[in-house]
Amino acid sequence: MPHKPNKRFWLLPAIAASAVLMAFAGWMALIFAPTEQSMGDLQRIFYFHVPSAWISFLAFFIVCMASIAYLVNRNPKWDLLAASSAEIGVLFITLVLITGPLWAKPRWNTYWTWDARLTTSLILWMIYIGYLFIRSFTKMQARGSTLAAVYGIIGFVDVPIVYFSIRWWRNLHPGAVIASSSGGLATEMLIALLAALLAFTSLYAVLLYLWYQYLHLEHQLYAWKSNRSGGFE
Amino acid sequence: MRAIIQQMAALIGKDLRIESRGKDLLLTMTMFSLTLIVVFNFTFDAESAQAYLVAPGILWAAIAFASSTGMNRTFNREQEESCIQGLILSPIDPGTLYCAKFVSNLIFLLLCETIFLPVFWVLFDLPWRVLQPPFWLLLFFGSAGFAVVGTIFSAIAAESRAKELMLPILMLPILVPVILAAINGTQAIFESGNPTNWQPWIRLLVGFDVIFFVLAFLLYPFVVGE
Repeated sequence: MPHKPNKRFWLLPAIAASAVLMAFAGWMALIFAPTEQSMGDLQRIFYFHVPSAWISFLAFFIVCMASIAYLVNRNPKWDLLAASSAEIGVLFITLVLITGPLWAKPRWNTYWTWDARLTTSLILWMIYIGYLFIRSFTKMQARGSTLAAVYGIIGFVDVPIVYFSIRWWRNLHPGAVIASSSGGLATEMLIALLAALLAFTSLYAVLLYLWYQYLHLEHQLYAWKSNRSGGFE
Repeated sequence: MRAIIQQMAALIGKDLRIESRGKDLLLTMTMFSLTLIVVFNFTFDAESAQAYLVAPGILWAAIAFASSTGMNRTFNREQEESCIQGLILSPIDPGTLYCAKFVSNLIFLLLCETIFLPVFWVLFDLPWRVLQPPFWLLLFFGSAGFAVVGTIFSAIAAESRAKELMLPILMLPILVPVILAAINGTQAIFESGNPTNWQPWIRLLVGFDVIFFVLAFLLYPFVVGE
């Protein structure tokens, strides 16, 4: 049966709300937040770097949960959720890996250093690129979903172990800036950061929904095509 | 329980028998790791004075690459002549199948290392006194880490269009903690016999092995059982 797109009246307002929030977060980051004393305007990349990292972790957490759900009850919806979340996660971890070196070069005088957080981010990126590879290179789509789910679970469990093993080894990246007792983050900065986190999360939700719908249509199209050709692909 | 042990023995025996007839896996794995040493020798200046500083890294890089090529091969064998279909249809639990494949992969890796290590020690003029129980433990649990992850991922990679190329891409990022712990543990053993330096790394290896063994054991039925 061909898919009839439902009219979702709330979709456009949701996209608009997310766009407004993103613009607001940009204003907070660039104008509202005070200039940092030692780093100057350079520090403002913080309001994009940290939320991107947060979104990628959230996205990969959802990949892991959806993968478990898919393996347990075999509902293709979980698989499509994992697939769309993984693609968005890879997008945001790539942004982390781009904004990080841009910040590090003037600050640490090097684009890259092999400390725990940086290396873990790179490994995270590699694991989920591998995840997308499994999805697209497996010959049968349904098998690809199962194998990717297995890899998605193992990959997610691996991330904290990677992080702590490297941390044992060496560390340079500033730790928990917000929670530290000696000063920490200025209130305006904290507000700007929270605004950015909120805006990025809404962006993630909208992207996830649209991506999921797209994959869902694609899935139905394949099912329809294979029905028409008598079950053969 | 006795049935499971019998099944595992049969499966491991099958893998070892195939290898004893062909010997292609062990010979190519060992030759590959030796070739890598030559390449690394040019990459890092491994002249005897600093040899022990770079040797642990070279050793484990060689083991990492050799294990990824070797484990590709052991699973491809199951696919040839549709052996894997036979195994799935047989009354063997997929978990038992995983344990058996893990043990035979580990045996192949350890056999490869017994040929490879003496040559490596001679070529880099490394101190023989290092080859003591701490080092054997590290070697065993490090290799087990490669086998734990490689055994399940080789089955995933085998269904991909990219085949052999997929396994290193999938398994090496996951194995970062193993590679890190193995290299640092080996370095600590090389530098001093002080147990406080190498014990944490062995503990990390054991922890990794246990966690991923349980995970892989639980997830293996989804990988092969359909």
